[in-house]
Amino acid sequence: MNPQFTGAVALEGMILLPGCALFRPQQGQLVVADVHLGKAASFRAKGVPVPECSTSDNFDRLDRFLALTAARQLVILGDLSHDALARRKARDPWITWRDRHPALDVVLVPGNHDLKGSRRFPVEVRRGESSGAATVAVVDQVWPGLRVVEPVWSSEGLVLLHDAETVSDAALGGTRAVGPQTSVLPDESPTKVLALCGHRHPVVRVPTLAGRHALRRPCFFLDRRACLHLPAFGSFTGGHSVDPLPGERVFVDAIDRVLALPRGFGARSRARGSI
Amino acid sequence: MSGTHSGLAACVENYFKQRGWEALPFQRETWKAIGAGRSGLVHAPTGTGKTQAVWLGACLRWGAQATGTVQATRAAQGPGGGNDGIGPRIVWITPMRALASDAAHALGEAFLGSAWGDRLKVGVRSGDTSSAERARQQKRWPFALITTPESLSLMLARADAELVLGEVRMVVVDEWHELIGSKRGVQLQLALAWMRAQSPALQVWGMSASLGNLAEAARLLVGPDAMLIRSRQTKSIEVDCLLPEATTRFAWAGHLGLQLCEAVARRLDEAASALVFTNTRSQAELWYQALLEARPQWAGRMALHHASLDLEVRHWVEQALKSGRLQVVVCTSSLDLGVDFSPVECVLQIGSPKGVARLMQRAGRSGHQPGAAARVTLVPTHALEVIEAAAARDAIQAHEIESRRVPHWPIDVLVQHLVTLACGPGFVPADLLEQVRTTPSFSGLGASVFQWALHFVERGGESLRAYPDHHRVGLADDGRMRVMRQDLARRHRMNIGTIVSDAAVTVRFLRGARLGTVEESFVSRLRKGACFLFAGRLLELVRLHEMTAYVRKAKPGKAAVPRWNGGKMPLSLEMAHALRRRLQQAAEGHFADPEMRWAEPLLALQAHWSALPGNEGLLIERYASREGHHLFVYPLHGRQVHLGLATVLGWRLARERPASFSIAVNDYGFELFGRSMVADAALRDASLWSEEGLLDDCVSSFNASELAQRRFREIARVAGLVHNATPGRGRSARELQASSSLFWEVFLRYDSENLLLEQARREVLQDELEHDRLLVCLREIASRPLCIHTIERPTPFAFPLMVERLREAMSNEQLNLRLARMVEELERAARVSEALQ
Repeated sequence: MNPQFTGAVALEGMILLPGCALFRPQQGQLVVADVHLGKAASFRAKGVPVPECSTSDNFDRLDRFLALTAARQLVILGDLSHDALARRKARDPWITWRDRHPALDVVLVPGNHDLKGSRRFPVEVRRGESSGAATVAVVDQVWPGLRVVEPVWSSEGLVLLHDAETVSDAALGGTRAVGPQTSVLPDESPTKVLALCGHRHPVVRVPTLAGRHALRRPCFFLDRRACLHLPAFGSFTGGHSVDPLPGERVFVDAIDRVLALPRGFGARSRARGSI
Repeated sequence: MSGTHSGLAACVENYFKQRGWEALPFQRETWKAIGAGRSGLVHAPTGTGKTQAVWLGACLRWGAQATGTVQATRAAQGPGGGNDGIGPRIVWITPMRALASDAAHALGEAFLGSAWGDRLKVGVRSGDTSSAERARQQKRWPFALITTPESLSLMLARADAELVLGEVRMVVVDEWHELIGSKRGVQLQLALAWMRAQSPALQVWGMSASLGNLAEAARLLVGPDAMLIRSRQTKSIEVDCLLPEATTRFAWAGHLGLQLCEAVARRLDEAASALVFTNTRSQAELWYQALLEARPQWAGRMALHHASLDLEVRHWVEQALKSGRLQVVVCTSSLDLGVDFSPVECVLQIGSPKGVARLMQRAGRSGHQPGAAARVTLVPTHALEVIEAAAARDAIQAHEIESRRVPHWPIDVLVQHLVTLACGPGFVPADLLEQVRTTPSFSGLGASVFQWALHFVERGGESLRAYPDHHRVGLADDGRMRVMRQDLARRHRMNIGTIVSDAAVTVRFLRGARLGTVEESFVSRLRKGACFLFAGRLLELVRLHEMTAYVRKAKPGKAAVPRWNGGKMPLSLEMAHALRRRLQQAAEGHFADPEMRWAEPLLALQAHWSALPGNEGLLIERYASREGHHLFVYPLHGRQVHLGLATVLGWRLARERPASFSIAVNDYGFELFGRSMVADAALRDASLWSEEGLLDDCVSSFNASELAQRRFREIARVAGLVHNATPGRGRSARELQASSSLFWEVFLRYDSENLLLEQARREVLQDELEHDRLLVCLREIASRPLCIHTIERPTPFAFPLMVERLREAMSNEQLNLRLARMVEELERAARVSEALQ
């Protein structure tokens, strides 16, 4: 691995970077999920006080990752925007940021928030292969420099999508006939990641030494269907705890490094919880 | 006018005569004071007629006038006139909405059947009141309105608040001792300040149970001119203890479990009626089951009562208790308050009484007959609790009762109040500041703090950091601050209140019957098919769906008991003092009472192996086990103070030499457990125990923990940052937790001077770590020698700390170092468990 990626973890030719991003060096592809641009502004407009913060912070962090990786392509695994209001509020900052990276190819795999309300992002849909979400209307307020692909997008040997729950195992490209019951990854076999997804905002509670306090940190989560869930990238996003089953893996974002939790971590934490 | 008044007076006299009662001196005194337009606080033991004293006084003073006014209004309105009926004359605040209907019954009863019954109408307005009833009230307000602090605030958020509440002549606050120390009390203070500003002659009367600072409590409610009226009836309270047969020398919290069940059942056999109080709901469930097993014939005559049970079930139990159909009720603090029922013969308290006032209140449930003593029997769940029984008796005899203080400058409640008023009549900032300053919680409130709160609701932050597009409250054309948008006003009204609890999951049979609610955090840990005790039944979880846990009756087997929050209440200062006196006497060889004689073997062994913790010096025990080095310290100041002290000591020790400690606490002391030994010199270093820098050290050591962030959850809810009552959309508390922690992080990063953050830290300091008591404790320690003993094995006092499961982790090492070490440990543990398989 390139020594400049300090604190990162390599996984099947992918690099899990501290700060909630993933880089595929061979493809020059930087992948993030759940940016939720404009969420804070949308909250404020609804009368909930949130400091002016995250939009510029999100762009600054993206800039840092682009500089670090020299990526040619940025893929956003859905929920780039929070809602219709947010899309309106964040359009100008988006254009400003986009102008800074004219050569970058920016791809959005649309997520549920991108498809919610008016001013939805237009999607390139070829006739005849429309999936469930392909009814998305093309509207006028397009963000310039944003290529929106179909909700389940194959790229360089991986399936990229927003919400893996809505998709069958076959669509994830599983060569094995896997179902929820049979698809336990054998603990010692090398894992073969089939898909990258977002939506879940995975966080994990890591118990501290004596067990009373737990640290809650974002994480990468590799589930039984060989789908790698990316942590939410956005500065103003919450998280949902994951509780890994045997064979599932968790990579915690520990601020300046990513740490692979041991196999069997979840089974242990669950056993303790239920005593 | 005087004619009607004498009519009322006759009616009141008649009320007493019919029941064969004699009005008590304190009641007549109250009537006189109310008649003279005074305000004050009435204190009398439970069941001696406090309610009659205040209610009849209010009617005597205001009843006649109100009737005239209502008639006048009706005449003015004409038949089928407008709906702007004149507001209520008396507002009666009850701390629990479950008590409101009881109160309505008690008040209505006084004039039942007389000509006045019709005119002195009593209405209830709380969260349980139907919208039809609300609409009726709006057409014609009752003479007296019984309500909760939340519903009163909700009335302030009405556009016609000035009209409806402007005619109130008197506010009565029942169970003021329950409200005084809480944010609900602050909410009430603010509402009262607003009402006083509307009608300066407003009378305010409170009723309170025993408190250490009654006179102060009266002033806090009413102001400097408060009258304090006490009943001259004093009830003697007897405390005894159900002693286990053998003395256990090594005991941990709860180790006695249900051992004393048979003894308790025998005690209950003899009583015609009894209450069994427990400290937690899970304990109540356990004891109910155990007693039912011990005496199957009690089925139908024994019931369970706690706050998680369905309202209807609780009502049924209360009614059955009143009518004497039940022989035994196992209950929690849910029966501490209000609910008027005839005294029971026997009151038992399972586990530590924790506080003197609490025990007195519970004891007061027995022996109401004039002259009869109230009596409570303690059932220890832990060997050391036997000593607490003797200590509690001392404290009651010496009349050393806990005091309650009001919260200081709770900004979140102020923020809520600002928006509440802005939803209703609006406010002028300068006037409101003066008004708010008249409340004890905000006395001397800095103009800059008020300004901050105003900016926060107006623009999110101060002018330099104003949040764009955020406008909850704005300046209206009439010069008042108002909420301009109806959607925001509606959402605010639905979120008024300061009670924040873990989201409740309804427990329901598959066939439909509702059993009650449990915390989401408990249910979410259960798997399908898991069994738990609830509502006196063994239940099996079938599925969890949309905040409802569907259950069926389980086959008898092993049960997991619901573990609810709570039950971590610390020993009060007064109890702790009494306990230390008892231990000191024991150290001097005095074992006067049966309890002390029972505990003698335990205490003797403690003295033999180490020493008894007492008044002489601070006992510290050091012990090296295979796992590491244990330090046991016994300040005897209650678990909260111990937690704070242990955290600060751990922090200070680690500052000298990087180390990480785990902490266990109980009411007697604490354990610091680490990998390396703490040198004697480090322990004897005065700076370790110094009160200097205590505040900073507290703040630093809490930053390492999540306490303040957890505290912020409630603050975010009260200040209106997160909402949980959107109709039709049950919002899971986990989502709410995530949101409040998100707010915490965002404020910390982008608006670090936000006063709500500071409040969270202050609340942790004051409420969770009891900074003031911590200070007292450190001063005490500084004035006494340290007695350091090296022990070869855990002593009777050390043992429960070792067993104590509650452990507080702390470390000042870097987060990722900690994580890395954790990972290493987890790896090792995983390898060990693999090897075992």
